Amino acid sequence: MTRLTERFARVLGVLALAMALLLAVVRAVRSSAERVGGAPHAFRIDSHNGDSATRVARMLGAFTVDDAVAQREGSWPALFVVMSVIPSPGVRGVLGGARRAGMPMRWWDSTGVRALALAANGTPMPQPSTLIAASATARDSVAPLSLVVRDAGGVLDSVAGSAPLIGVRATQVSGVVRAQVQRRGTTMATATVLASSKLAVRRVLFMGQPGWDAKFVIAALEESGWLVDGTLALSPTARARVGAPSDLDTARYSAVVVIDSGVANERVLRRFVSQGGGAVIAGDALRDPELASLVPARIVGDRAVVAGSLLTDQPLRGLPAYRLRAERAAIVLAHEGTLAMVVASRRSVGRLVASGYRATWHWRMEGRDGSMDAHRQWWNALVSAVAFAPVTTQVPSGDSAPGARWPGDAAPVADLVARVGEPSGELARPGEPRRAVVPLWLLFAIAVVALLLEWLLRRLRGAP
Amino acid sequence: MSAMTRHEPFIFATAQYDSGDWDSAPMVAANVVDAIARYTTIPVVPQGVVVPLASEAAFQYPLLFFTGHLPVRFSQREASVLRRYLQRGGLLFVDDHNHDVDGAFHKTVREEIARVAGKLAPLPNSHPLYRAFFVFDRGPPTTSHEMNGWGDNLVHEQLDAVLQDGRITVLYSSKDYSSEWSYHPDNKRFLAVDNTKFAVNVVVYALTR
Repeated sequence: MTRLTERFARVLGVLALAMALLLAVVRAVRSSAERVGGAPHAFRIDSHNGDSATRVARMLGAFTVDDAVAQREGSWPALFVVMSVIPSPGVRGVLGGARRAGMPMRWWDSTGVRALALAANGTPMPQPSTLIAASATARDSVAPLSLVVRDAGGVLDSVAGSAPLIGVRATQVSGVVRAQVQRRGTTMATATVLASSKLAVRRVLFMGQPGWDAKFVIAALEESGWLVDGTLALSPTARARVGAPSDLDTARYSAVVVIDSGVANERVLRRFVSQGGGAVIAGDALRDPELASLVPARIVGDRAVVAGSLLTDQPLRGLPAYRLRAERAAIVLAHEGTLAMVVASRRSVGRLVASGYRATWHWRMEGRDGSMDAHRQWWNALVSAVAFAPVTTQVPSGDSAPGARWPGDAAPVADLVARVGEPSGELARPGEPRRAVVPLWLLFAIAVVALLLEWLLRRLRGAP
Repeated sequence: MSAMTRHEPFIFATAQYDSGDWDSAPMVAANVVDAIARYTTIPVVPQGVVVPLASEAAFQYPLLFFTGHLPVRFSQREASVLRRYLQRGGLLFVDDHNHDVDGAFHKTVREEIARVAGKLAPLPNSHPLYRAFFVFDRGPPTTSHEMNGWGDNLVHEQLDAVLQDGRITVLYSSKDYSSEWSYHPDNKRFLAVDNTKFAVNVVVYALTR
């Protein structure tokens, strides 16, 4: 029995000693990778200096001077950076500049933020408003993040999770919009975009022949808030003018609506769309051979009218219409069964919508109660989907948003990677729970106790 | 006009109502259609149609011509259809065939219009209606029937209208265009000046505004 215990103590002691030695070697290797603080030119970017480009620039300058004093000229000092926060645009710019100048740089990410993006896009109708979208992604191994979106007026929305996502529609946004990723009350990254409190919504140019559809499409758009211009040919010498029609240009118009063939010039329309303008080409305009190369769909036939449908919950089936075939890059926005009826596509920076429905005024006049509103909303939606509405970017006075001029502010993590490259590794934060491992001292203690026990037992039984 | 187009042609519609004599000017439709075809390229159906005001078929004709001599009282159904017709964007062109501000038609139909659509108000002679196609600097053209010894023997300087969001929904005339335009179109050749030109303005305005 004594010998059995003696052997057990020996084996345990040797195993514990071997494990302790192995663990010590592993930790030594790891610490050599993480021990950037001990490198000649290493510093940490945290909430104290993450916003100070001047301070970081001074540190870089000091490193360069150090190397010069140490007579290591001829090569840049290697720089090791640990990011505890995603730095401000100015700091990102300084780091990026140093890297572009040839300074070798490695950085370690301890923020836990893998991505952050913020966008604020304007939508013109039914009332000018701003659609704000923000999303963040956390590293798998860290605690969930909080995503907070705010403007100068306060918090607009917040959400927590490993991949938080926010979508807000705001009719009035003041100042700069910020999306902040926070963990345990500390802001790890901030994205900013300039608020689009004003959208430059411009007029709509209507192109069609005089008729009930022209009248009611114009009426629907005007009732939705659009200012509509148009010229309707009444005779070879007479024109009816709606509004104050002018040349088709994005300086004046957000969108053009064409509902008849023979009324639009393809070259002018193409130039307008290439400038960013939107075009709705509907009904008989789809039959215009001149517009064929511009339209994102082709007519493949007539779609039969379903009698009585105007008084049902599917009133569009009661309208005469063309069946469409969408071109490869186009998106079908509306269909009836397998038939494409409304198709959208991009052309350069502009947008085009092709609608196969004709004589939509029947819907407004002959539909059931509420059809007038539905007809109005439908046309408003078509035009809003393509309308060119540039954002007027103006920082309100008193708003300190120095970074709001930087394009990379909308996605600071991506901007950082673009400037200084991918991180060399990810560090666990000090506050994070560490993996449960056997302490090194315990392994040595077990080894010592076991070997002492084995020696004691041997001595007790009289063995040497 | 392009051969590719399937543009819907304009159809001139006369409103038929239960009270009164809605068909007192049977040649107006032919004359208006003739004027549209004569002066414009707007596609037009050669024959006009008659539409019961009590029928939702009225919604298919966003311009309705309404005339008569006799007292007018809308049935409940007619009032309902007309109210919705006007709300949706239809235009009712009412002409007093008596050209008499003391006449039964004038008094009763204005009451009915006020009940269904709102009160009529004078339409300024600078309104776009008077420049929609032909230019009428002095407002509505005078008719030869205004001082013919019948009716009120007045030259009415203005038309009246009910406006909705800046658009005319009811246009009211005491000028007796019903008599002025109710003749065979072939007889226009005997006129020094075509007296149906204002009808073109009414139709063009209705089609474009």
